[in-house]
Amino acid sequence: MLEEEITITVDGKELKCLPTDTYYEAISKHNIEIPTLCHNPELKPTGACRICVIEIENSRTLMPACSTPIKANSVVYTQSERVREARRILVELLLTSHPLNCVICDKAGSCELQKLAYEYVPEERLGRYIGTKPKTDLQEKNEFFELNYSACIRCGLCVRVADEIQVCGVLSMTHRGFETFPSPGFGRTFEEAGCVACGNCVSVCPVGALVSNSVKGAGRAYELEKTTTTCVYCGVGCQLDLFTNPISKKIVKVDSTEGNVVNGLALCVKGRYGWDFVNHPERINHPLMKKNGEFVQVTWDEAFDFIEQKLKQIKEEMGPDSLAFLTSAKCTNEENYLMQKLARAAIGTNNIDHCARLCHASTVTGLARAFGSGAMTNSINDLTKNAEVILIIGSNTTEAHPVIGVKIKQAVQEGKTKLIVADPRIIELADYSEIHLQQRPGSDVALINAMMKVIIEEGLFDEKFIQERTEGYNELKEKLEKVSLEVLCKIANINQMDLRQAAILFGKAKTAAIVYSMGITQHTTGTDNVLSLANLAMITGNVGRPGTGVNPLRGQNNVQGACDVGGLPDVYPGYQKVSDKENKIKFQKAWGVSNLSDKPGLTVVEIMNEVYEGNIRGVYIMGENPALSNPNINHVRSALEKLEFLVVQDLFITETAKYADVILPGKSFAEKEGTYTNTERRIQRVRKAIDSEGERIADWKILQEMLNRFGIENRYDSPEQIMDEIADVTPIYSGISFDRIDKVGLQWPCKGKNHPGTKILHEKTFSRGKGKFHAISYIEPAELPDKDYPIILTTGRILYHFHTGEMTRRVKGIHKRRPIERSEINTKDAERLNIKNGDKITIESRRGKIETIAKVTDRIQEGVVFMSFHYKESAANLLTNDALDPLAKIPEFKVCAIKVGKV
Amino acid sequence: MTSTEPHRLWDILKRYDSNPDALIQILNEIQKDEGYLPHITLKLLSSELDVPLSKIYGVLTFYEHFKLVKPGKIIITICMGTACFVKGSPALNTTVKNMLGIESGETTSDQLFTFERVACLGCCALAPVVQINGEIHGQMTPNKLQKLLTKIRKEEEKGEEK
Repeated sequence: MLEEEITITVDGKELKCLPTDTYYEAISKHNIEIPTLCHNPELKPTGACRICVIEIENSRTLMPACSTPIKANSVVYTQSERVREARRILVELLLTSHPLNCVICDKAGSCELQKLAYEYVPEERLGRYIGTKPKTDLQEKNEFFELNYSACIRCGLCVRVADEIQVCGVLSMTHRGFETFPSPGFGRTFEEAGCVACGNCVSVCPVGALVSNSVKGAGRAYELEKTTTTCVYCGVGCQLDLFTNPISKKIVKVDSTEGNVVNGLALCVKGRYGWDFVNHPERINHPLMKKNGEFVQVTWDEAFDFIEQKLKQIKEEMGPDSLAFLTSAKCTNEENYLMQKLARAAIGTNNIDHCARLCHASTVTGLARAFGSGAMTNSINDLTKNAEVILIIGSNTTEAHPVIGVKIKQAVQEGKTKLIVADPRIIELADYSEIHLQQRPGSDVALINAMMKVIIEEGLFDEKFIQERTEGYNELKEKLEKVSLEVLCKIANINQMDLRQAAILFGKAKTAAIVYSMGITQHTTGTDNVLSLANLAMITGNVGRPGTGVNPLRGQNNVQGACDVGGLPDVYPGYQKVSDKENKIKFQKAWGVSNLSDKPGLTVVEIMNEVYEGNIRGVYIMGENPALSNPNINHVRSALEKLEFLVVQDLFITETAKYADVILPGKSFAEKEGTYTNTERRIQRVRKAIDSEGERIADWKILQEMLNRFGIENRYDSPEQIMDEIADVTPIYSGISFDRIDKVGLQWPCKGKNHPGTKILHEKTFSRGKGKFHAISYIEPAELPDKDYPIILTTGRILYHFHTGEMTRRVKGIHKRRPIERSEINTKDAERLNIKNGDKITIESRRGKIETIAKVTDRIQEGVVFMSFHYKESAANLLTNDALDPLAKIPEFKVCAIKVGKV
Repeated sequence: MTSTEPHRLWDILKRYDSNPDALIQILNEIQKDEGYLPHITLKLLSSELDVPLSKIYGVLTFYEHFKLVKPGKIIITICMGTACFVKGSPALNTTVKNMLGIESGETTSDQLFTFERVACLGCCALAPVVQINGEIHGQMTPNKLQKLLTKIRKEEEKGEEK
């Protein structure tokens, strides 16, 4: 039963309310508006502005609705003359120190103070009080926004968002009286105080004090159109509103969607400010074909004809498996579905893969083996609200998945959650952790085995769970008995006491969740690492309940979806094995073809190897950039050079597209319809916000045309119809339709039109029945440092950029803030090599050599260098090792041996 | 920053058990030791207490009492209380400004004088009153003040020569 409701009377009407509500919450729920300048539902109320005052019978004074808890049977007035007069005076007083420059203020039309003044202050009372205009003026102007003190009304919202949502501590209310202002203090810029430009403080400013640069002169609030859509960057899947100017056809600003369940108020710098690429002049506007070594503009028909002819020719000459397709974790589910349909039904090959191979292939293989389903077991909010302990291993969450990062920081700040961070680098979350285990790159199996050994020794395992829900525990236990804790800790280069403490903290917690990412997966032992984490979760009974689970954070906006709808070489949509005869029959029937192959296809790295060998002659790539994202890209580039026929469908002429024979201009996320599936398996809408320029065609339409040319006669009017087809053939998506996910996305498995979706996987039983323990032994990385290459290189991402930088490096503000790669090297190593912070250095591996800038820091351990792979001028993947995990075929991006030199 | 300063900060933190709730007392103690709040000490304090530097700045700028700039050797405090005011402290104020070229709250570039104004020093019978390094000088006039400050400066210069 729900909490017992109580009744209050508001403006003569009886309302039923929850006893835990404040007056503001209770009354707002009944759609009665109470004005406020300092309240936000996601923040703790402070009652600072007093605009929300209401009159409560038998209460001596007016009370702030936002911070007064309701009392049963109270009688309340929200618009009595006493209330209105109080608000009127407050607004008048605010106006005395506020510049009345509304005619040129960028906030006009969406300014809360302007709105209140319009409603409450009659003309004759305007300027009745004379106040002091503050002396301080512009305080901050950076790449993304500015803070203008003269407009500040000192509501404190920006400070509270910084404290409670972003947990960055950048801002504080400083000084006193008229001179009170939000500031980072000590004359520092925001960035110097640690600002990561999330812009969350800007988004809550009720007046024109904090304003994004992009809105300046770009249109009045009421001229803009709002489109709710899903962010195109990482796998968090933030819901955001694109505000576009229909006249200039440009995006003006981005805000988080009010009341959404995924990200709430928060966005990160990429989501809020990273959309310059959409209208970038370097976008491809017309199909291009390479003629005599140069790209020339052609018609769509000529491009389609040529592609059709070449694909058919190669297929005829060498069979369907001489062609390969790379689909895209950046594109929608509908597009990925059509792409795999093109490969499978039109061509008859399973040679289809995408960059999931490079990030979470080992998750899919590992978790499928242990649990039966290779996805995040729990949900983002469940994790950050219910976990007593979170083990973060191999995930630099605040940079790679910033909004999940802030939610974890919030949980720690509120004292609900304790963190164990296991990472070779001192990542930001390490500062929030109880224990930071700084393991040697590539030693994760040893670390996790050591934790389990302690958990078993201390009797902290969940016997009931192991008995009832798992199999294979004894083998694991025996294996662990054979190795000593000392040896394991030595391999991982971790202090035994720290490890014990971490294991006990994890083992004792009632709810303990594991969060991991590429630090676990991108190893030749990636699958082993994932299996070990599954072991750790099962041994402590931390699966299938709120605040527990094994939670891989997926990298790309739709990498989960691209996998779900069959963008993998061994499975049809919904992870149905291609080698299974029944599946073949089912899909032949559904697609009206008879040529489906039951031979699993090749993976990303294998495809490039076969291209190099000449066994694959034609490749069709949609929205992927293997010439920068794959390991050992010298090898990839020589393969692409040899390749007979390459089609690239993208927004820009990427490093890969330079090798293409045909380039097709696709549409960006803001120009098309569809769905993305985020890391918590939530299928969410992507909506068209602006008309695109030139002759670009939405990727799903391009693919449909290709399908038609190969005799697959489906005609889809819209992505909605494609989703209906996906739902028909994909059991885990069978309940999904555009109607149902219009407002709030659903989480798969969603089996049926009335199924509410699944927040937590494996609640009663595992997808595979019983959870399976795997006894795993530690295996060394494929390449270890030696005399010639004495240092370990590990690669990853930074907050501001995304992947190969095709999008973020075209964002003016982001580019200005992080224009070049700065590779992290430990102080001691730097000293030994006579390298100073900011020096130009070379990094060389057995596969290549690059130049970069040194960032000397103690946040990385001795003997390890960290590079991001965003910058093509310092392409980390010229160095990385293309050795593969034998099961998942994921390359070892996280460990290779290098030497560092000074230029 | 003097070399002993971190030790003193640890002592202070120990006394308050590094409790962020005791921030104001801790700031007070630092200022008592140093005469002001050195930036480098505050940075250390911020990481020790796990309180963002911006929050410390917010607290210390709320109180007139806390100083971020090292005060001069000689602190001149002019009383602006009612009695002193009517007896002519505004003129004393102008004298200091003209002589030293600094406003209230500022320090001369040679680090010799710091000029402050306060609401009442509690010795109204002697109005107008100027306090110099804690010593009260009553029934002050612009002329007397000028002579006094010149004398102090000369003595200081002599002291330096020695």
